[in-house]
Amino acid sequence: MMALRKFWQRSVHIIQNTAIYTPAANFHTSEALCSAPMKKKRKLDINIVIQKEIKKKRKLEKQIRRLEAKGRILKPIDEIVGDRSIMKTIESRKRPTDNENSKNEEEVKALQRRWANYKFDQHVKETKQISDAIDCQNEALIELRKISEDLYQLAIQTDNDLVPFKRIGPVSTPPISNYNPPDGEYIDTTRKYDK
Amino acid sequence: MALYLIHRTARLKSIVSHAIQVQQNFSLSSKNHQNYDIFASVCLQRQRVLTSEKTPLEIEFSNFLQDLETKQSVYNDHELRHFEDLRVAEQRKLDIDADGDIIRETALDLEDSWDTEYQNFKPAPRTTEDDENKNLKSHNRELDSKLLLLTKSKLGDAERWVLPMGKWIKGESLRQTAERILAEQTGSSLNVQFLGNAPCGFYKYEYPSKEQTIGAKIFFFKADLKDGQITKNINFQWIKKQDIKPLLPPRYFKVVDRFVLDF
Repeated sequence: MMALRKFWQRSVHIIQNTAIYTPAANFHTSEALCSAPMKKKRKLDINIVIQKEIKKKRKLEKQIRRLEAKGRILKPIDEIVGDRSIMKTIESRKRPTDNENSKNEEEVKALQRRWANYKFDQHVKETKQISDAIDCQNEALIELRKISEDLYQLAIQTDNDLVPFKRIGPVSTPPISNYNPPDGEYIDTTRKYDK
Repeated sequence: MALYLIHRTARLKSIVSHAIQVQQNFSLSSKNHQNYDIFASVCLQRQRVLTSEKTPLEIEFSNFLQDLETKQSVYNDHELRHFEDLRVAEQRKLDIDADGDIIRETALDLEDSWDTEYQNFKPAPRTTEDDENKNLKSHNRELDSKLLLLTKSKLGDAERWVLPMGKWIKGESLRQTAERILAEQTGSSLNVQFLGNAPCGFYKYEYPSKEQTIGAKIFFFKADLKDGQITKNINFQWIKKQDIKPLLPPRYFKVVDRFVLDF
């Protein structure tokens, strides 16, 4: 019992000492604030509340009515809708059908037949060349594998520089070197639509 | 599922270890490889710059389509404006007094102004000076067809036109050999793009005098010329694919003909 009292006295002594000699610039924590000041409750007029509710309701009703009347409003697609001014004047824009230069039906058929044959031959030649080139490459790879498996493994690696592959041309006239393109005006004709 | 995963990882490991092996030693596995020299060769192509001239049939068909298109169309605003101009002119003839001084720009005037603007622009000609001089050293000619680079190489005793080629050195991949020999033979100012790591063709021939090696195996690699000139002093020419047949050895030509596309 004595020992406990002694200890208590000593600890008080220590606390007092520190209280006296603590320098002013020492760190110390502020007291924790475990509660917050009360908010003042706004008193609402019951009439205003009712009016607000009614406003909300009206707004929703209006939206519902609009949706029912028109459905969703979609952005028009120009290519399908077309130019309305042209549609209005379509009668005055009719072109006369007779043209002396145009071919008769048989001539057209003959031309189309010749064209089809021409394009078919072209297609056959191209596909044959492509498959020939592929065969040629496969033969080379098989031969390479016979010589060395390691060289073959290196040869079948993907060349990442080629992806994506880009090549410009051919064009109808060659590019003019040191050509200075004249300045033009940039007019953005894209129409904007609200949601 | 677990078994599958184990199998997969085992396979992956084997692939990785194989790749490492490939990097370390370039062993030749074949029994008779010592008998052949291995060459890489570059088929350097200047792709066509221009579209081909239209054939008569293509011109006829394109005119036909144009005609059909016009037939199925309606008058546009410009044409209507022209008709309106004609009508106004007619009316002016009838009563000379009425607003005779007002001159309006007609559709035809507009067309004329467009025409002069078009005439002022001169596109570059489709044929170049080198076309006229038949300068085989220049790749700025024959713009509407593909050109190939041929160099004169000493094969055995004779000098022959072939695609640039060179011997493979141990430690290189064949693609690296191809890149190296192209740089060695043409100088490094050519800007080229190689089309892949795989050879596109193969040609084998035997030497007349068989000493250590009995022949050569050539692997061809395709590359596209982007720009640049050949700076090294070598005997070379740029030539159309249609014209190479008489220059190359017949069997060699057959291989080249297979992997070089006409279009």
